[in-house]
Amino acid sequence: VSWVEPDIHGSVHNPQSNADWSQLLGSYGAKDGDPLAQVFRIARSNRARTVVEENRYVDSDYRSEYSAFWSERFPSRPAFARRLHFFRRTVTDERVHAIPADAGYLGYATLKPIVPGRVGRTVMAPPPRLAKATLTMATDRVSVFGTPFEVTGSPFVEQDTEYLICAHAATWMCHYHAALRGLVGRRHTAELVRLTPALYHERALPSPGLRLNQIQAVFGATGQPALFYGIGNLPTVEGVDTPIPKLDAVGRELPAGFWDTRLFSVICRYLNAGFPVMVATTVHAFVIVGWFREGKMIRFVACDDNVGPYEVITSPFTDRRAPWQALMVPLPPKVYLSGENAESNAHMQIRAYAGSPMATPAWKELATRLAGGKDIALRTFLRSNLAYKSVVGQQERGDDATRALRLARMPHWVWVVEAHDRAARQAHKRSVVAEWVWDSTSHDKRPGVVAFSLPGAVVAVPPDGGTPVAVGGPTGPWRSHFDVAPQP
Amino acid sequence: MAAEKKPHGVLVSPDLARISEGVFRTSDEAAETLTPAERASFNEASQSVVDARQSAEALEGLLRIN
Repeated sequence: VSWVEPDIHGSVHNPQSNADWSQLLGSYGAKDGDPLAQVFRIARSNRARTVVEENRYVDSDYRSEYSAFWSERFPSRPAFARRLHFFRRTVTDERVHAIPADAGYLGYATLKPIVPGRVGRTVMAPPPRLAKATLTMATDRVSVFGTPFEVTGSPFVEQDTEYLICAHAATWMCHYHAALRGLVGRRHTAELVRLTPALYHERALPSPGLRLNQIQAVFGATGQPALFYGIGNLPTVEGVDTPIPKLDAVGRELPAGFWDTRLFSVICRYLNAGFPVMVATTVHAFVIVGWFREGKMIRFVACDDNVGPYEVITSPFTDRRAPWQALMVPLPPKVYLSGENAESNAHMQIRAYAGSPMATPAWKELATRLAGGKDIALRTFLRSNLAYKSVVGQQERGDDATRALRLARMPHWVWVVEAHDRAARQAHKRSVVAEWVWDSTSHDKRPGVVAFSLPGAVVAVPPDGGTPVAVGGPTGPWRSHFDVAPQP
Repeated sequence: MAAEKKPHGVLVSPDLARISEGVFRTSDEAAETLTPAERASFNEASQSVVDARQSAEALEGLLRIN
């Protein structure tokens, strides 16, 4: 059977045993350890019973690569892709033209007629192990022989090592996620390659690898300039422990990627905001798409083009790619304020109000507990003001507070810092005892507050010197944004 | 003022009016209420964010990602 069969629509597979799945994997020239094998593992963990294969699929990403590169090569190469759709229920070829809506759609993986680089645009539902993880996901809509389905997941694509390399794959994974969220217009993979500026003496093709400023240029050109963090110089945040550097056997300081625990909070702020974080090592790039707690440990979830979607990273410090060197976080262009300064300033203001003449006993107690560093945890995330105001109405903060916050004048994106009572949060009770909302367009040196809530009071602070409005607020904890809407 | 409060820390109009008038407009204004040690710690954190923005230069040319 050739890659592009003119006489068939595709095929339906119903693998049951390990051998059936291995045989299917092998039929695409893949083996255990390849990204396609990881796609299959994810599908099987979600109890996939059916794989519907589309023949002669016109994948606009692959077609863009084909036009720009593969068609220029001497060996012949099909212009078409294939696409696999995974279903939890059994679907037969006889009914593939009318798949029921409740067939349990689990996602898709595009296959390209190239190896390496077999796995093209892919969006799979996350595995059950990640059910409680915070994941940066977006919803994609597909048509399977005319029947519409949708899947919510983190996009994935494999590099081909010649045209699309890992840096392109990583930028695309961030970009397609933003495009699905409607934050930017969609660019095809070949456009990302074309947007890479030639800043060095090497030829662009075959790609010798990208430098950080080239990656930044691609992020910028696609409408999501990236915040940059060198892991050797992570910012300090009030209330977050500054780690002690780790030394090697002869007393030399090891690279910060082996010990700087601040990277957990830096990365999680953006994951909590719904934005994936690209990690760069000296030779590789991949994307962190989520995190979860396992006991007292934080685990990251990655999409690495060499591995596949939803790889669980036990620890960044023992990770085989360690030491991580840099983080890049593509964000909406007008988010100028960093999450770190939003959090530090919220910390500072809670303590400042407790020391002001109008402080209530509850404010003073909150500040004392916050300064103690154990009882109160700050959770910082970016939200559109639409998402923020939508959730405010579901947090049970009272009608006055809801009105004040929903009518407050806010920029499109706001940084939100929630102060959580740790014990209440661990007991799955209402846990938010204070909240600061920051203007994301303000400067790190002069963060602009938009609204804040302390026990008993909610204050909206208008822009341009307008008059602040304080109303009565809840005196006890209220529901977190994450309890109401885990996905932004 | 305390006599005007309802039970359980609920604030009444005079409290809220004072809060409206006492809002800190800038971080510097808020920081004035902190102790010198607290202020120094906060300033260090703020400056570290600015410093972190400049760390890309140290990595430029070091990494080639492929």
